[in-house]
Amino acid sequence: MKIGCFVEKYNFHTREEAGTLRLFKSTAERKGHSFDFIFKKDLDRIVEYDALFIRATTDPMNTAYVASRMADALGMVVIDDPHSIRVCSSKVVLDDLFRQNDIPSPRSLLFDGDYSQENLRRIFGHLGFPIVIKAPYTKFSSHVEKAESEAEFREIAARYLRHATPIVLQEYMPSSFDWRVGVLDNELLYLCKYYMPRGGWKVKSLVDGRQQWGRVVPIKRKNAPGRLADLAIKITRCVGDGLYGLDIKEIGGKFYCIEVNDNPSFYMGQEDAKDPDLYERIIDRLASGRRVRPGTYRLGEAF
Amino acid sequence: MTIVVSEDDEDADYSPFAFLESHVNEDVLNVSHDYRYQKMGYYVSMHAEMCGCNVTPRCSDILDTHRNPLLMIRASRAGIPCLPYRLITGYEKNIYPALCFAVNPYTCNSVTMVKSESQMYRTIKSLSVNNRYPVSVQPLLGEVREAVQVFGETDMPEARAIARKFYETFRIPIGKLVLQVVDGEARLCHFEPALKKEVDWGLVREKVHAIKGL
Repeated sequence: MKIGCFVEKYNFHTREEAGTLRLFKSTAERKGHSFDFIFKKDLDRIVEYDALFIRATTDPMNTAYVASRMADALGMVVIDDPHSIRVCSSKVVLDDLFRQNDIPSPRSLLFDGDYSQENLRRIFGHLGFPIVIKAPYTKFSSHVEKAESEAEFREIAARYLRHATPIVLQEYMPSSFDWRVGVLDNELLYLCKYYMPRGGWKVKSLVDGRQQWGRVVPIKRKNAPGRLADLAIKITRCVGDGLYGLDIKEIGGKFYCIEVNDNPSFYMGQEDAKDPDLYERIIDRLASGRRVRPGTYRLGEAF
Repeated sequence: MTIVVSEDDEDADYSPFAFLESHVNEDVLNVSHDYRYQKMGYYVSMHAEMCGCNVTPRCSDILDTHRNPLLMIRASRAGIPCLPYRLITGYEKNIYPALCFAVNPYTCNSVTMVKSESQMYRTIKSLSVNNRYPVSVQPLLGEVREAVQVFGETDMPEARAIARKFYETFRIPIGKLVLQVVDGEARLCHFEPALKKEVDWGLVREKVHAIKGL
């Protein structure tokens, strides 16, 4: 089996991420597959492979989406598949997915720039302050800000609305960490706690003028709280049977889904620390010849 | 029953903003001059899909038509005459004269005709955002023309067959086809949003009325 792995140069910038990519390659080769890195200049070579694994940042506007859609059109197994990218890349879509499938998540509203007093009263009454404001295309905690007042809300919302309409408003749910639940094929793959950095409120926060990441605590997947695992699987069944990383908050013994990421990050020594078989399981899925199927929440597609 | 969501008030059952706050079960026709990702035309289709409705156009078709290599693959498969393309990520010698298209998230209306080596260098640097994104390059073989298509119709005679096939394949109601006319035959090169003022809204209304059976 010939597996292509679509990457960009930045995927090799940190030792941990480069190490992960090397582990994917060695795992595939140990199992008798070839594993080649494909950069954007090689897009035309996708046709030469049997399966495509995407590690570059996905978004319908990025080259990774073109790679995914090309591979999908050729009938290849592709992780991340274009359907998952379209669903997970937009927080507006995810918000609707949670709503339509009764997924517990923070209270939220869409905002299209209606600053009338009546609408603002409704928003502030429903969500309270602080309000979390998210651009639809947020990645790695960027383009997510917290407004403590109406003035801040207006300033942040206006900035985000310049690039996208609508945007997502959410109630603020403070917690010291988010669960990161890795799921493949609707089964738990790995589990971590992503802590907020000291003085921050997101896993990547601006603290003392510097962007800082919180620490990552890996946990064996077999020790996942049952209700957390059930919720994660319920959610991925809506999206598809590909590879996902879910961010879930635990507040007062209840679990609330914050995001579903179609392109979860892997850093050697973190996500893989307790369940190192994740490499083998992902490679096996790519080599299975079984294409990723959309879940119950299906957006139209044709090729 | 087909619900029409349109920026043209005369035809609309819903304006785009109002539609996003509604929940519908019927088929949806989304009429817009601009369906680009993150724009209102895209979100209307997305919301309809989220409600489980059949919608014209679908989000996957919108995205495919706005990414040049995906458009070329699908159009060729559908039998639309196209020109060959290459994806490059940096300046290459001796590939002009050519038509170049950006495949990046930031550039709209990116069609650039290149007729010299120095122009190719500048164009690739610009459209690739300093070599960060690929650029689709097609040979410049004929006269470059633009045809605004409305539900598969256009007033440019050479483009009529392509416009009809394009609409059958992608179901994008309104948009601009970029073509080359080579030896009297039109070939599809690109698709991009039409400007609102370029659209024959009288024809749009006529088509919408026909779809609604008015």
